[in-house]
Amino acid sequence: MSFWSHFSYAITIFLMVAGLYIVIARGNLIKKLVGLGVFQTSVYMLYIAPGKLIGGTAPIIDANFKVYSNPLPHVLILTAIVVGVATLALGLALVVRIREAYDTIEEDDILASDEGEPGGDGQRR
Amino acid sequence: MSFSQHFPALQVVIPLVAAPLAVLVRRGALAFLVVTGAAWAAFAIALALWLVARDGATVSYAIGSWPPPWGIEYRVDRLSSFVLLIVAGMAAITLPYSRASIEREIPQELHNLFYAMFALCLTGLLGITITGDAFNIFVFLEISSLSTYVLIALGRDRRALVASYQYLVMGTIGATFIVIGIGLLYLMTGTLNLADMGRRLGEVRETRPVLAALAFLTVGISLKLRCSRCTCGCPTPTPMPHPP
Repeated sequence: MSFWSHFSYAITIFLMVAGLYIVIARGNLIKKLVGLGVFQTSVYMLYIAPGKLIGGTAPIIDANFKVYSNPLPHVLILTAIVVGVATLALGLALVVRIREAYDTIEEDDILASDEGEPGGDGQRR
Repeated sequence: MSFSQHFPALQVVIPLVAAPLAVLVRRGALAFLVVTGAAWAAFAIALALWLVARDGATVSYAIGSWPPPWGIEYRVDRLSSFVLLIVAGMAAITLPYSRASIEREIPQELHNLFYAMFALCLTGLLGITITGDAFNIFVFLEISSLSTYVLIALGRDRRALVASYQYLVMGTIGATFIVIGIGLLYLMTGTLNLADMGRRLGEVRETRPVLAALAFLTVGISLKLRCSRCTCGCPTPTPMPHPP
């Protein structure tokens, strides 16, 4: 139970909390997406790090090797990365459309410019 | 017989294939026909599966012929067949009536994209219900979520964009919490198959990672549920605001 055996978890938790903090604390829509990306990256670490065994080899059965690393987390995270890229692409596309409609990407300005409009029937694009 | 044994896979694959087809045909009316046909086909398959599973029989389908604890399993039991029937039935019944309101709400050149997104959303919801694999649930959850964000942003009110953005941020945080929970459960049990995981969880039930995993899952699923009523000062996300 040395420090290094928990090192990957420390990194994971740091990235997770830092990402969440950026999403919550920043008003800029692009910076929020950056925070979201950092937050998702922490999960990649959480999955992949425990799959690696020190001294383990690639999972090809051979008489010379007894310890194998687990390949499944890599495959899972490959899928999660694809999902993350799709989410980021959609988020950026939405920010472009918001910029066209509001002329700003600051959350406070967007909320302020919607303030005066009565509910349900805002300005038409 | 050989055809009907592939029903669990076709249940998800038919709406999934309808989505790119709807994009490719480019004509709104044609895309409408493709997606409506796919929704009714999915409904018919759900009905067939429900008739099989109604008496308590469980239909297990090994994707790619990899046997269940190792490969991804699609599992239809009494409950999931009923939920499949509800989801596919709602899509099949509402789609024919969507035509008129879509004509009013959405510019002509975007009609086929609306139907593609609808088909993808249906794929995700059916997939969440039918799959027996924990990670597969996350993938289908994101398929249905991402298409829902697009459907919300299609509203003509410009605030639909902000609502969709906030929905995306909260939904992604929720989905990531769910993945963390699934990851911790996988670390403790060594399996992603839900039935297998249920058996093995008994040995490690009171350990701290499992409790943390359940906490993450609870928060994640709650965030996903909460998304449907956005509380951040923005309008409630509605895919189709009423015309003036």
